Amino acid sequence: MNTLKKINSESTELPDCIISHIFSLLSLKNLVKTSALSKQWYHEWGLRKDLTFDLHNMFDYSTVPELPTTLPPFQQIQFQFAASLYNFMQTYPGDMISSIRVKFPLGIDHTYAIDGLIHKGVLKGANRIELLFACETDFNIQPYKFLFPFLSGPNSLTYLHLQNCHLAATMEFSGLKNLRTLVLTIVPVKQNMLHYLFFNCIHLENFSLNQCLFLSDLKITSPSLLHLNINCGPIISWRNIDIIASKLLSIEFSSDCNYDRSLRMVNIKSHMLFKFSYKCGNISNLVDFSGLRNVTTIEFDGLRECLQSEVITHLFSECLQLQDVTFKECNIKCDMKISGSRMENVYNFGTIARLHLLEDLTMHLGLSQISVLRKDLVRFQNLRQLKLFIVGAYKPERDYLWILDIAMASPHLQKLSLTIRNGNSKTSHMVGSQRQRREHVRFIHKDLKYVELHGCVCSITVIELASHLLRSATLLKQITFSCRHNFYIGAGRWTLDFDGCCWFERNFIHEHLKDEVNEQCRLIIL
Amino acid sequence: MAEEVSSQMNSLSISETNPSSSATISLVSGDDIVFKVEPTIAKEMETVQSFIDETDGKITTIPLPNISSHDLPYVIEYCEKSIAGKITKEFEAEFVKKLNNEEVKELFLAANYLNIKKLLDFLSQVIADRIANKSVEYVRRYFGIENDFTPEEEAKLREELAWTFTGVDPDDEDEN
Repeated sequence: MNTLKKINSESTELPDCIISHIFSLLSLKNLVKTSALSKQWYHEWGLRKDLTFDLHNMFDYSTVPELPTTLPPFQQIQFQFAASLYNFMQTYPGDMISSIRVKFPLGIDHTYAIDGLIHKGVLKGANRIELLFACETDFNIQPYKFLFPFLSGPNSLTYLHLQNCHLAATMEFSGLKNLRTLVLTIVPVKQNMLHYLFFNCIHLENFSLNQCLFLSDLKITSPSLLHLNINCGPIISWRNIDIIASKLLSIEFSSDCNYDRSLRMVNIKSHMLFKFSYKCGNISNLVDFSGLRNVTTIEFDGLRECLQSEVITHLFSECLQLQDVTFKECNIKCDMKISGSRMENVYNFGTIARLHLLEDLTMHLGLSQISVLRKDLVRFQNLRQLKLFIVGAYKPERDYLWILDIAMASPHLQKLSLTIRNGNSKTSHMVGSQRQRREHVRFIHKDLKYVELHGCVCSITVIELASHLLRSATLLKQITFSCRHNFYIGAGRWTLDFDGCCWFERNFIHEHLKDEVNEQCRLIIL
Repeated sequence: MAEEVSSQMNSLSISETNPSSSATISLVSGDDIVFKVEPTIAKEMETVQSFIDETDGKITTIPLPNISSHDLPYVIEYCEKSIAGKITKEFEAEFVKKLNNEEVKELFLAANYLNIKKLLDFLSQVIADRIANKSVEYVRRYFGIENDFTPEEEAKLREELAWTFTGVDPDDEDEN
């Protein structure tokens, strides 16, 4: 072992670059202390550019593991924290600061330290400032007043998060020209303040209001805003919010008030808006669906009202671009008719516990979605009525026997309506008479009474479907073929263009099916 | 000494699943002790792996003059755990408990020479934790830093940054 010691004794000191790296892992308090090591390390702490001031960084876990729960020691800690913060910023040797984050309950009594922090931070080029002053204890801290004369000069601040602060009435935001993101948490908000904000912050793209009390009706008018997030939390302000933002792409709204409404009315005028997330107990009379006209993606979370009468009817009559609708943790009390001319996905039905109560379903789908939806549709076990609108180019190899699977999975299904539309008239098909009899061995249905087949139904694949239904649906009363050239596509609209792909041949249908119609069933060919 | 170490190695490599020992790599420490390891272990050590790659795998005995036979088993143990995905907080706590300050530094230098990123990150944090809340004198001793302040300069500095010099843990004297 002695020889070993000799080998190592010369090289056992760590190189400076490694020491420097190790110092970068220290908490602020320990880092600042390294300045007393030697002249070489005197300015080392100035290399820290992302400054986080919290309990751990300013004290040590061993001395102050958590905030005191009684007032005098709490105030003592606050005082110490502010004094240390002030001292840090006054003596900080670095030339550059990139971000500042304070996570500690400070208030108006510590204004000198906070002002000094922001002043120096902005001067040294910080582009991100977070002042998180929320207090988890019940102590009544007079909030810090954010009022920035220094911010009137040029600065590179792009991200600002204020928590539990007050914005001074005279705050003009004139210096926040570069601001891209503003987050206000537990900050009372008034219209005149927003007016200055949007007037001056001409690059503001993201704006969040978290648990803010609204002291007046608000008008969010911004030509630059892309994303808006309003989280009311448990706060009931009972105000109107008007959103007029021409570039706005997404809105997230949430509230913890399940039965009361936190706001009176939200009006949205943003024609670019394509995503809308909504988490709240109710939506009717709060959000005007007409403002969501171009929305393609919509998410509802925690709705407690009757979805059919209060939500779905309005939604699908106003939002004609919908492609993606999600209902999460919503309370389904009544039947749902879901239809949308361009709907591509209906997600997350699986999370709805009372899904099996769904009795009436209308869906529009393209041919490409059939393979996905045929798996989902067999989960609706209580269906009584199913309407399917299928749009897509005719392909001779495509059959419709998968509809039998859905019918099998829904033993109470009484009415089935299928509308097929050939989306591409170039691939129009002549009726072929070659018919291969294929068997769908398992199929048998005891409740199905009415079947309607509309549109481009004069093909051998539809005949095949009808044939199966006639043979194996024991109570079938009526099966109707019709070839309306334009038909209802939901949301108050009919197809305008003539879908002339199909030569509707009554004799053809009759010839193929006459032998399979039994006494109790009528075959109607319109 | 050599006998003792290689028996230790056998017990360490029990967990290896590959019985074909034809491809084992021999690592030779600075004090000429041979450690046989599986090629997967060598892969964790970038310096060793690049040596193997450069010679197209023909040379399987690699001299590591900067690393002592005292540190190498620790490095191998850590690499084995790392490959097995078994690096837990408990293992790490247990791992450093055995090491005094001097040994941590030596191990750090070994890891640095072998270029084992995970071990370096881990040991950096270990050292940072060990100097946190310690007196300035302790940190100077730890890193061998010479104080070149005059007493007046140091007193002034300590006064300016007084808030950082409070609540210092007593120096533990486990150093040799």
